[in-house]
Amino acid sequence: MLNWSIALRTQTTYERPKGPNFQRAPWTKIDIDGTQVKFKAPRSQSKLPVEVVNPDYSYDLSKTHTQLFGEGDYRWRSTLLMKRYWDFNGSWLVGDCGFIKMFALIMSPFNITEGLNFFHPRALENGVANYLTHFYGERFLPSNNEQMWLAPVNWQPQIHLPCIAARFDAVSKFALHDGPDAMLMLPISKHHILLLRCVILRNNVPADLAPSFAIDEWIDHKPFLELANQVLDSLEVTLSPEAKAQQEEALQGLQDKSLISEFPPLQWTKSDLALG
Amino acid sequence: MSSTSPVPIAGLNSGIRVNIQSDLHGTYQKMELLAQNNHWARLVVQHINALSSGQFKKNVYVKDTGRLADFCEYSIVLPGCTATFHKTQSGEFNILTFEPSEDYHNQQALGKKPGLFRAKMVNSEWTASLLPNGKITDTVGNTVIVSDQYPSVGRALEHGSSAASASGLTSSADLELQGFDLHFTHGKNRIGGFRNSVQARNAATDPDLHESAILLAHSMKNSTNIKGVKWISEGGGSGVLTQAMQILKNQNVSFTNAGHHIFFEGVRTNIATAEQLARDIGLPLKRYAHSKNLLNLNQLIGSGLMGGVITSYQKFRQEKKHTALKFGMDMFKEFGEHTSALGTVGLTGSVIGTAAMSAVTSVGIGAGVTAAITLSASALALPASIAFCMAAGPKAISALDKVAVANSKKYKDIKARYL
Repeated sequence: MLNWSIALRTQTTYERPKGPNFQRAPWTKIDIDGTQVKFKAPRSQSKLPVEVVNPDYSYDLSKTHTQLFGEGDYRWRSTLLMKRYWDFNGSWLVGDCGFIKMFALIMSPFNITEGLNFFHPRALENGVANYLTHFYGERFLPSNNEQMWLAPVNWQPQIHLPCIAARFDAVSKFALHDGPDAMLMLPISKHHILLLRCVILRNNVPADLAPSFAIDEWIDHKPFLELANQVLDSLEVTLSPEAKAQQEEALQGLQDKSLISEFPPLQWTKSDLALG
Repeated sequence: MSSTSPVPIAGLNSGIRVNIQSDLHGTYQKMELLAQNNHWARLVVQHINALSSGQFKKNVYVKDTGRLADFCEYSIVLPGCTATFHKTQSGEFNILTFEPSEDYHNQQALGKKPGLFRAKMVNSEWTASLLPNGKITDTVGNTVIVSDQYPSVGRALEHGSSAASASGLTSSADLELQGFDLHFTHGKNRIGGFRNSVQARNAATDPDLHESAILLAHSMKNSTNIKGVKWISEGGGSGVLTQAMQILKNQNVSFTNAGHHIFFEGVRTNIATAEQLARDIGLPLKRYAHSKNLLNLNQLIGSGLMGGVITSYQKFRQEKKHTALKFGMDMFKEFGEHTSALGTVGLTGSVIGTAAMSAVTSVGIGAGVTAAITLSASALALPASIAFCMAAGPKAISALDKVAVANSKKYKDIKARYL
């Protein structure tokens, strides 16, 4: 099918692009303060002029370089562990039809409140809501200030992992070529969250075609979703003894030790942002 | 009044009367209402009204859509609107079709139309949000990146941020800390380059770039009071920036005391025109205000094969600081770069040739001869070009003069025909 990155012809019909082969992807193993994190991710394959970040073998959470983002109560520190790009090429030299950006990050709130422990299900849910509000909460349609993103969607607590973890998506209501952004969040210490994030970006439908031409009738999103799901589902975690102790401390006396089964999408208005 | 009788919308008391067909008058009134809150609609109304001044040649890009028996029909491409009109024998303008897009703002926010975005780094990831008024962020030393034509804003962000750091006007650390403004153009194919060399040559007047260029010109015009803005074009974004500067030049906008900077990174359209226009509107140019990869055919041919020499010659003629010595050095540099690029291509070819010949014949003689010819050709090219320049320096300069005069004549002919 010549799914090459070189573009010698223009796309005229529906395309099912092809990305990197997940089966051949190497395992990425990271030691974060004794907690072993392991997942499969293909090597970066992209024409984009971007800097790829590969993870170190081990991280000391007290010494990691952190970046700040957010404002007010929505302020976080984050450490980028890994950043990769995967192009998806169309058939017969159409060139790339979109790409996935994959991030692995450690996040921690800027202001750590007393008693905060992300191994507590309610604390993690609150952390998820806080992060999503910061990232998607300020994107509105200009005409009527309607929120452009729905998050979280497809909320799935991950019960096969040794700690609580949530898998969810963020879906654009209007810019259908953007997303879904697939995410997996789990605690790795009482103050730190590990975020795996796959951002899907498909090429927009050319303007000279009919405006009603939906992106799903132009570029298939299944290959993108499939790879994102495979990467996120491959995660394996082994908690360190310290993390296990923190987990026991958080869950002590709790009757319901799991995440809520349903998390409806958050609603944002422009006035909420002023609070942030 | 019949359903298609013309209704005057501009030039009632003075100037040339502009009429619109009565069935389109309601649509135009809606656009006037939209213009109260939407800057793109305001631009449309301004440009339509500007027809009454009679200076439409300068204010609006007009495309000849074919000569009819007794009048000429034109079409205007504006942000969120296309219109066709003709000039009657009495001198009035009659608007025949007027097709506005009422949700242009939303289309911009969704990345389906050109627009200005504010980009910031959130959690190690570039995110962009539309600046609905089309004005750049009011920060001293703000960076504005004019992106090439891309199918999504996300792709433009990745290319733009990389190009801005490569330009040398700003660093990746500054970009991550302060963010930047991104002028985005939506489309499948990139602007200019080898495959689109006609557009690359005529970027200043290309109708496909006009919609985006009008919006950029509006943003640039409103930025003259912000100090130290850095305008960086990425790839074919130089085409949009060129046309925007052409519009500003026509409107006599000057950046003389604004302290702005401009750079064309990985330029894919005619660099000589772009730098000349930047000089005309008072944007200061450094000695090297553009960069191109000579191994990239899109940049090499798109920017003009001898673009570097011509820009240097323009500086030599118009700037006192750019002496003949500097011009000569620039010329040698350009020829040297071309030669080294040819040498690299030749070496690569010889390596491939060696491998192929060895594989096929197992004899290295043919490969050796190929390599020797290529290497000697590349080695001789530089001294030969230097010797040629030294011998024929004055003649080369006069030849360049002739080219410039011929180009200006050609441009005048085009203007006389179309405008």
